[in-house]
Amino acid sequence: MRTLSISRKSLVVLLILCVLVAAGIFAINFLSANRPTPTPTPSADDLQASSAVTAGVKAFFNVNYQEGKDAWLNRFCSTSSEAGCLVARSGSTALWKRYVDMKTVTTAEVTPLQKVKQTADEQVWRVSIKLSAPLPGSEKTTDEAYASAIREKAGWKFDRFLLDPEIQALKQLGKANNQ
Amino acid sequence: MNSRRYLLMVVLVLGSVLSPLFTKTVHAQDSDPWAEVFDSSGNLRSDLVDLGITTETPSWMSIDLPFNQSLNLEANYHRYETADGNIVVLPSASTLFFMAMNPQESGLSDAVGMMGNGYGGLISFLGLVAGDSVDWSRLSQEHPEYQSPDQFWNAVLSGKENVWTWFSGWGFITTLLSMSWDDAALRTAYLLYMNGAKNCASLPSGCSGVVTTPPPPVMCPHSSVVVQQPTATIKKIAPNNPLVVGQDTKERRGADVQASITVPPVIFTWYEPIFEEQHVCRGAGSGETPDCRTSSGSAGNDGVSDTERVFKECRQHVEHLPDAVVSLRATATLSADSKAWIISKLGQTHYGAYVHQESFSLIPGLASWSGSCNGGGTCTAIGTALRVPFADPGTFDLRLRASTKGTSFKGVRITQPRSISADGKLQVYVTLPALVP
Repeated sequence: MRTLSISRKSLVVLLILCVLVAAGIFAINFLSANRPTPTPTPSADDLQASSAVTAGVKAFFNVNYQEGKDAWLNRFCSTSSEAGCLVARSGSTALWKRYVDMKTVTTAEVTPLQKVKQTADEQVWRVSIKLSAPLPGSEKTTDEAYASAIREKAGWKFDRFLLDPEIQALKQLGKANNQ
Repeated sequence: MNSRRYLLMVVLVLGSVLSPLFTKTVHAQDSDPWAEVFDSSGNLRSDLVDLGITTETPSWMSIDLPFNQSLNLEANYHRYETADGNIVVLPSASTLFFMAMNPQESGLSDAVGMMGNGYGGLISFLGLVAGDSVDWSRLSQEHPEYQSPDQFWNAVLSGKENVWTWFSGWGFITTLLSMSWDDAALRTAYLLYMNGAKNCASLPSGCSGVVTTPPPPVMCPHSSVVVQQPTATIKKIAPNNPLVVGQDTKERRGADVQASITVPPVIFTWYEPIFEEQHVCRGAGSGETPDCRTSSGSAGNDGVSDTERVFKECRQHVEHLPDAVVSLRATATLSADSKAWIISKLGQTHYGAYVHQESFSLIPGLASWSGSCNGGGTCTAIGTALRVPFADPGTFDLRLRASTKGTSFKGVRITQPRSISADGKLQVYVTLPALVP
């Protein structure tokens, strides 16, 4: 039988080496596990369209009855397409009257949540809205909206809030695509 | 399947598809009801009463927004009344689109039919305004049974297909909604409502302006109503070339805008039966003492002397009923072209150029209006906004919207209130410096 003799010093060096190797393996595993997953960079169109939707929704829900309907609409129309501006102008008579009657003052914070659908020149976004004070007829201060943006010569512009049947159809399509 | 059975099946299927839309049958006339709308040349008949343009904000044209808010869009109709009291309705393009999407709620399904090629006219209209926005390739993959777009629109109109799930784009709806309400060229559909005058509450836009004549007196001609169309104008009256505010600093002249309306009287002709008392010999009742003979053949007195009212003639009355203006509103809106010119072209040469005030109310706001009716029944309304300081150069679209009180005679409503509208344009000039080499 052959006797292998190891000095105490060599044993210590060997142990230190083993500890270092184990620590190295652990460090490599830890770094690879926590390496940030690359996320796709949003396209310029997505950024501009979501900004346009956000700006339009924000302008629409920033209400101060004292500044008057024209000032409110002018601010909204500066963010919207021309057709979208006309829609808001022609449909907001009763809405603004209610704001004046109820002395409504509120500001909105809008965050884009999801791009729901797109074509080359149109995008629909789901956004969340947070109000500083509730609007007449509602006690909520947070809600969601579906709104579209269109590409114009000058860039992307807010177009309009989607109609309820359009929203239902998009939700239905989303469910079908997820299945 | 032999050809006769196939034909029968096609008829049944088509009938079931179309029946929800046009359930009303023609009771008032056995002949073509459209004959009282169009003459043999295809023009509107001259005896139609033009009820003018009416608007309403129905629930089926509202856009629901977050926080229980809503935009209430205007449905817009031009309506006529036929001699028999049927009503012809011409909706604007956007109104017709929403009617087609909500046939029951909008009353479209109550109409007898559409002029043009009937039901096909509505399909053509939908194809025209929305056809390019339908995802036809996805539709044909998932529903190969639709052999043509018409079959798809048929299914949509009959409620069997949800059109909203097949749109690939949405911008056409915004364009539709923003179309000029008063553009006659966009009114392509004629909807006929039988007995519409009598049942005007269920018409699109209700009873506004509808002629509801009282029942004629017995033995006399029917009463008649002649509704003459009002004239309305809105225009700049001075100066010739108004400058933007800031460039007429010395005078601060601005521009004068005048809105005026003249409403001729509603002419209501009715006939009063005139009776006179005549002496007669009527049969004697029990307990009465006969004192005359009821006929020459009577052997003796068998009747009693009495008087009775006997119809003599119909006396014609012509009433000139005033239809006073009760509301008037005038607005000015910078045209889209001018707005674009300021932002793009003017902005290139004059840094910082922007639109100051795109739209504002002239009356009320900058001026008030007054109205009156003269002894002949003609009513006028006028409002003049003086020295209006237009802050932007370009073309302003002037819009006048007014409504009347309606007419009545001896407590009986003769005509319903009417909507009156007129548009005009106003050019505001700007002087621009130019470098001459």
